[in-house]
Amino acid sequence: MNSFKLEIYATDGCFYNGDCEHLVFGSPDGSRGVMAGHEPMICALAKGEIRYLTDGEWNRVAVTEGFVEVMPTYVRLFADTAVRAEEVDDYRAKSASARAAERERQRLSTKQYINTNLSLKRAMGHKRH
Amino acid sequence: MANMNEIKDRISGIRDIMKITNAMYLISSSKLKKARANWEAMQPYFDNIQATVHHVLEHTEEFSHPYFDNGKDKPDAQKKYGYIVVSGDKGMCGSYNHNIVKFAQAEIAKHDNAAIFAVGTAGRIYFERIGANVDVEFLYTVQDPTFEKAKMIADIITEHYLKGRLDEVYIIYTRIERGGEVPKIVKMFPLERHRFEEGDPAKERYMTTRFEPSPHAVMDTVGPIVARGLIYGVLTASYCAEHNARMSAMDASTTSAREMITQLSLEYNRARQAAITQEISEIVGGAKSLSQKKA
Repeated sequence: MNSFKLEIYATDGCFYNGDCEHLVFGSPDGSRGVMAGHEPMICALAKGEIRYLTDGEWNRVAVTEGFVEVMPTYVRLFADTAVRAEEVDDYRAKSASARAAERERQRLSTKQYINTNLSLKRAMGHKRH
Repeated sequence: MANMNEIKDRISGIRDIMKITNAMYLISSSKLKKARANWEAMQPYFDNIQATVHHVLEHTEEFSHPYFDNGKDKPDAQKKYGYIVVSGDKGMCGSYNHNIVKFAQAEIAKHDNAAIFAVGTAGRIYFERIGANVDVEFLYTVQDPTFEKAKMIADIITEHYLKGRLDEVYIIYTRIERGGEVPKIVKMFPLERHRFEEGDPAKERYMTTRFEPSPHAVMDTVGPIVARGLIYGVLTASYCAEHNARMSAMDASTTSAREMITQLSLEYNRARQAAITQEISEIVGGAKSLSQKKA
């Protein structure tokens, strides 16, 4: 089967860069398949699962919104996040804990800021006398 | 002449503070390195997005899209302005917070109808205190600039913009330039067509590219991505600037602590010497008066 070059970029770096025989992804108006020599196209990418075929084997990847740039010799896929289908649960748990940590940090940060400012003022007061 | 014990106490106090400033210097430098590495990992993604938007704009007829055109027809007096102000969460970074807050205040004063979205505790507390129009539900810290955080922030602002609650959005942040940290202002919404640069001319692109389902739909998905990228960029730039400022502030404190210790050690030695001299002259004087009595 003819192959083409596939590059998958996520915000934390390049997720995949190599040959691919067949790519299937979701767009806002349905699922689309791309094989080598496809007509040039830029297509919106919907959140969901994409599949790409390498050496007769399908790889499944969960992606969030982005877009796909299809050129006859190469395809580039851009998504906010790209995670292997098997690792989705892990990824979810990590993002949830990151969100919780941010809320806690915000609460603490305000408190700390006020506290340090007050103790600085107290210390300056002591110094003068 | 100061008391010897007093000088000794001061020296040990300064030495303790010096340990802290030195540690803070090291922490900031490692945080700076980490943030830079994350930033560089994302570059291919955003460079390509810029290039694609440029491509979309170049190869389609001018079409109107909310991301470019919302609120454009409103008279200036009725426009609602949004300002995202990125400051630090903590002090101890020289004039970093002061500079950004003053700069922001001057910018915001240009428009009556302005709402402030403060990222970073120092800025938020300042603007709340002077009674500015601060969004109180918009609570984000600037520590640990991750893409997830940038996404949450960008999506909130994008929604405000699309629903017409904001007509123009600016971001005020700090960037490292030659000669130090410089406050900057950048427009977030509406997007400007000429801002998207064509990157990577080596990659061949075809004039007859189709946009599926439509150029409009492609912009629908690309618009928020551009916004997220911009927010992530300014968060990281500010974070780097903050830590750079903290590094130079802490470096300066460590140096002056060292100078103070040298000065105080000198004083301590003088005081000690003076005390010894005095003691000896007292003993000699005492012995002399004794021997004179005997004679």
